[in-house]
Amino acid sequence: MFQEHPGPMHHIEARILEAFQRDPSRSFSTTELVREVFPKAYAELRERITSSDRKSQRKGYNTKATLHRNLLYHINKLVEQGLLEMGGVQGKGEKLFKLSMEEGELVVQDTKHRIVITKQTSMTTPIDGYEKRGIVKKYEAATWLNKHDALMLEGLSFDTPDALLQRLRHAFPIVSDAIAIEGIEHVIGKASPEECTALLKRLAHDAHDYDVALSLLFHVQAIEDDESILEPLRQVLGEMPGNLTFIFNTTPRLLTRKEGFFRELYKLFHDKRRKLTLKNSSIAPFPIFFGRAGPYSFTPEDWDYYKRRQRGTVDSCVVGQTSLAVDIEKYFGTGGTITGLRELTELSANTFFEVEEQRRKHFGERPGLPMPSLDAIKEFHRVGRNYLRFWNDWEEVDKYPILELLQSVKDRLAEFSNMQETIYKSCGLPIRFRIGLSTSFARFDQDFFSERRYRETAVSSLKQLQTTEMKHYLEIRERLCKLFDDANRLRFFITRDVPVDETARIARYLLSAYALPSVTLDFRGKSGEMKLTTFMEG
Amino acid sequence: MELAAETMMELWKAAMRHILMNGRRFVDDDGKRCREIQNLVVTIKKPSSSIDGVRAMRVVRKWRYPSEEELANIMLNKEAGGIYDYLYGQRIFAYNGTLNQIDEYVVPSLQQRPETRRAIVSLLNPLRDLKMGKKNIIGMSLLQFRIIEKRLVVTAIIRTSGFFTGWPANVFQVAKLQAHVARQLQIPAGPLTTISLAAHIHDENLEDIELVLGKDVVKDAKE
Repeated sequence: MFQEHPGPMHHIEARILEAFQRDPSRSFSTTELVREVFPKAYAELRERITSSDRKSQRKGYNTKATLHRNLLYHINKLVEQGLLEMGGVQGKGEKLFKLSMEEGELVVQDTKHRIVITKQTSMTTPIDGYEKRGIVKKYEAATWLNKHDALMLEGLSFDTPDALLQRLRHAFPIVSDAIAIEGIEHVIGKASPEECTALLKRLAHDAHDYDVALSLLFHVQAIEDDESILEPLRQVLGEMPGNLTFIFNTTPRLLTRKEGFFRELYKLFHDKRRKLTLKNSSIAPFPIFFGRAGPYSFTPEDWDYYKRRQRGTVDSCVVGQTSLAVDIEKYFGTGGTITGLRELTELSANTFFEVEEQRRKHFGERPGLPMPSLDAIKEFHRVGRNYLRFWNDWEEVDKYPILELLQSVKDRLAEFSNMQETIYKSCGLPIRFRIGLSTSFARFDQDFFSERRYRETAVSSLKQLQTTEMKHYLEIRERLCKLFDDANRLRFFITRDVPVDETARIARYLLSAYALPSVTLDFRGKSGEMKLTTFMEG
Repeated sequence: MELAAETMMELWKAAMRHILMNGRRFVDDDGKRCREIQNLVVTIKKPSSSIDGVRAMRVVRKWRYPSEEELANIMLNKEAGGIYDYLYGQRIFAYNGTLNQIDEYVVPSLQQRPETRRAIVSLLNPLRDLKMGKKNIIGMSLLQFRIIEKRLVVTAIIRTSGFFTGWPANVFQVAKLQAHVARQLQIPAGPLTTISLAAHIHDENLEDIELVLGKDVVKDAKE
């Protein structure tokens, strides 16, 4: 469907349509569209509304009403043109709007704008048979053509909290799962404690609004003033929503050298009942971060490329493109064979490639952030990977030759990716196509994964980690991490009664005795019997 | 060595046989065993048949070969994309972001002086491409268009041709551009020649070649 816009398109109408372009299947509330169209004004009014000052609150509500009225005027124009329609009502009568077309391609054009919206009710892919059988699940398939799973922003590129927030406002709408801010201490270190506190609050609000998991990656070695990090955390940690993750990049040696800093962190996260991730940079020198779908990482080659070519050229890059999850338990439980896993792997690889083909066909280029040059656009996309994720009870590895199977899956995926890159390159289409292997979190899709047995997982002392059973478990996790290019997470629930000294010993032991890329210490006080799915989800 | 045939498939099979039988054997930078002919010149008399090579490659389930649409698009589309390391269409229609080599130079040159030998298109941009350590250096480097016997003939110089995996796509792309120029000049398309400076085949593809082009092509090479 092609629609010539009657007269020049108003920039607000163009921005409304761009919101639907990013998420064509979604019904947007008026508030959500205000956020998409007026991101800066929305952020400011939200701050006013949530402040304790009544005068400021009133001003915030007035601005909100003005923005809503302004937006509704333009929405109604798009409704009159037959592009949008009402998609229902929510809450206290707030209207929802959706695209009028059910399926297909809509091109809206005037002299300045050309907006192509592709809406597919369901994209047929080679893996659909396995999905129907409940063995494979696509992550957020409705936005496969319009969004990336995960982005990373480089803290070094932002001089002020405002600059970072502005960039994030462009980034949130094109992400379906996770964003990481690498080296956020560079931004925080330059700001006042008040600015830092405000930044953390704003990040939390925005991540919550866009339903994106946000990981803040701190390089402990680069922190010049410990209090510049600790003080803002003391102020806001208790209020932070669950989709904000704190990851501290360290080494076993640094744990000892900056013992005071870490003791403060353990105490703080223990008191506020939050989880804290320690990343071991001597095992994994590249960033690792987490979304709902699962962990994301870089291969050593990609990270090396990033450091040499991208850092300084771009302020952000794609890390995750598309994810599929395979439930190994269901696969074998429904008659799946080891040889059949090869077919499943190939269908998954073909599915990823088909999605890339569709993206190239519909967009010419993949959704991205505004960039200063063509080279920057290319670099933005350069190191992204698709992820084939596995859900399993990893302690049952003796039941099936899981590790060997995963290795063969990894080899096959690499073979397919290399073959596709070689063929395309020889045809004059030099593309990047890579598939990573990783684990899946339960939050990928709560209803999809098979139920698990229960087990005790809470850790109350270092001694508990030194049993033969635990050693065996940790050794398996080491091997899994290697297989997954360190896109893995190992979580321990630290019981409420563990003193800071013991927590420090536990952390040092885990990071120095095992080649684990990251360890998450969860202080939320869970203990005793719990679902293994919850345990593994971390 | 120069080979010529009426159609794409005839020429492809003949060229493949020639490389497999007479190619210099060596191990390439990726550790793969190769056979290679230097400066292989091949001519298709009916470039419209070039589509058959792409279709033959797309039948194989082992890989996903680029579609005709995508191949044509990257040759004829001047819009810069953020996906590909380089884009032939961009080099042809917006070299260095400015020069449309077809509309501003090739077509008017041939219209003004049909016998000209200057109607060339450069795809290689030394400033961008010739950098130490660069992974992807453009393959198709230079095109020449000429009017001979009232038909538009084209010659493409290709730096290195994976003759099984890449050459069918390259020929299809050049034929598309040739048809585009021929339409503007209102003359029919004539023969299409490629000069491959390094025409090679990987030994690991022997079974795939058998599948696509038939047992005859690889029979002697296997023995």
